[in-house]
Amino acid sequence: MTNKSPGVLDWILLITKRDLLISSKRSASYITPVAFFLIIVSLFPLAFGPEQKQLSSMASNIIWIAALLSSLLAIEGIFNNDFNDGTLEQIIMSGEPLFLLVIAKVFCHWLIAGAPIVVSSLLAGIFLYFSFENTLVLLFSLTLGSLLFSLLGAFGGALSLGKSPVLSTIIVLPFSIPVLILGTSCFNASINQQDYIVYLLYLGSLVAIGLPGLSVAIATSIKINYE
Amino acid sequence: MLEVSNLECRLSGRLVFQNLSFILGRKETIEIIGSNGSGKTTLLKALVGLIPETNGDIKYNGSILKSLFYSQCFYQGHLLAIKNSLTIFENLKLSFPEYLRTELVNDAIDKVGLISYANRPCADLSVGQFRKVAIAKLILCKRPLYLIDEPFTALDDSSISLVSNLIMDKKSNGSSFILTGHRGSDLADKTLNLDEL
Repeated sequence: MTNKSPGVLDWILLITKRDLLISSKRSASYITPVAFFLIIVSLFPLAFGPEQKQLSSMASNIIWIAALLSSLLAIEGIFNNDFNDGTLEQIIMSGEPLFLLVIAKVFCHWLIAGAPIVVSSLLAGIFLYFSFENTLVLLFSLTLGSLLFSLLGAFGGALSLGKSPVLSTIIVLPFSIPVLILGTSCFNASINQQDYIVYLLYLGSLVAIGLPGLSVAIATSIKINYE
Repeated sequence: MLEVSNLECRLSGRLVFQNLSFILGRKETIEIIGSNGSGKTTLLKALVGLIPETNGDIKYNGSILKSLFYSQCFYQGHLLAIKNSLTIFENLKLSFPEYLRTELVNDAIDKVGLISYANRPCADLSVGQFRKVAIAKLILCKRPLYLIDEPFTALDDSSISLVSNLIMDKKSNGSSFILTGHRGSDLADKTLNLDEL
């Protein structure tokens, strides 16, 4: 071990490596949200019939609701495991700004639970007869939306540390509604050949505000939970 | 090295202890003793900033601090920060943000007698073996101050002597220790009984 004191980047690297390694060993952490997402999406054509026009009109709602529900599945794992085994104590006493380390954890969570949903939405696009342009809009909007779902999920997870995962779900759902509305509106605008850029900009600005704002809120909630 | 004066600590508004003061010099060991619930673990947590409702002065090498940080001390509480799904080797390699050479990690695992388990997930280990992984962490770590909560819990005789020797060895290299326990041990230069506060 070197005598040089580690910096914030060393801590971010450690958290990222550890979280990704743990997830690679627990395939359920990334397979379950994707499987859940695809099951919900594939249930709609079965329930409403394979008629292209009807499915396309509902497509954005189906995809976004499936993405939200799937992201809720992975909320519990963001902080609770680290809280229960003492890793979170070590992270807090690192002396580095906690909100930066929180961003690293949220990013890992997004890579594990959010990014696979974004990628699998390509497959969902095939089920639901999307054009190439609509699929691209979906990918962009869902990338931003899933980042926000991960941030909100981390916020719910931090507020309910050591408590029931149902509580974090109840906390997160109301905050997710604006993201859901913007996401579906963006895709509907794209399908109806209207201006969808404005919705992407709204989602982008929510990420820009939410990333620092929610990270500080998450860090504060974690510290309060240690009281 | 460390001077704690008039420390007062509350948990959810309940007073755990107050007017707690002690001085710990270089190469010294202080053992915090007391009955269950007297505040031993809380004291260690308060020193590393895990208890927000803490008042008093913590002076480290002449500087007044709100709490001690990673680079100043090694803290090992009841929760050992060991991941069940990772192997012993991976756990140790990913316990510290500093780069650890593979030989160093394997050497530490060997010293605690778990080399044949090095690539097994920690979920497969017994409670005693779990504690031995924590000892391996202690071997790998080099800090001026160590705060360890009940270091001899769930250890067999050979592991107890391993930890004792490790503490003596680190002390001779200039480190200091704050340990907790229920009764004083031979390792301690000073004892602080929380029941007598």
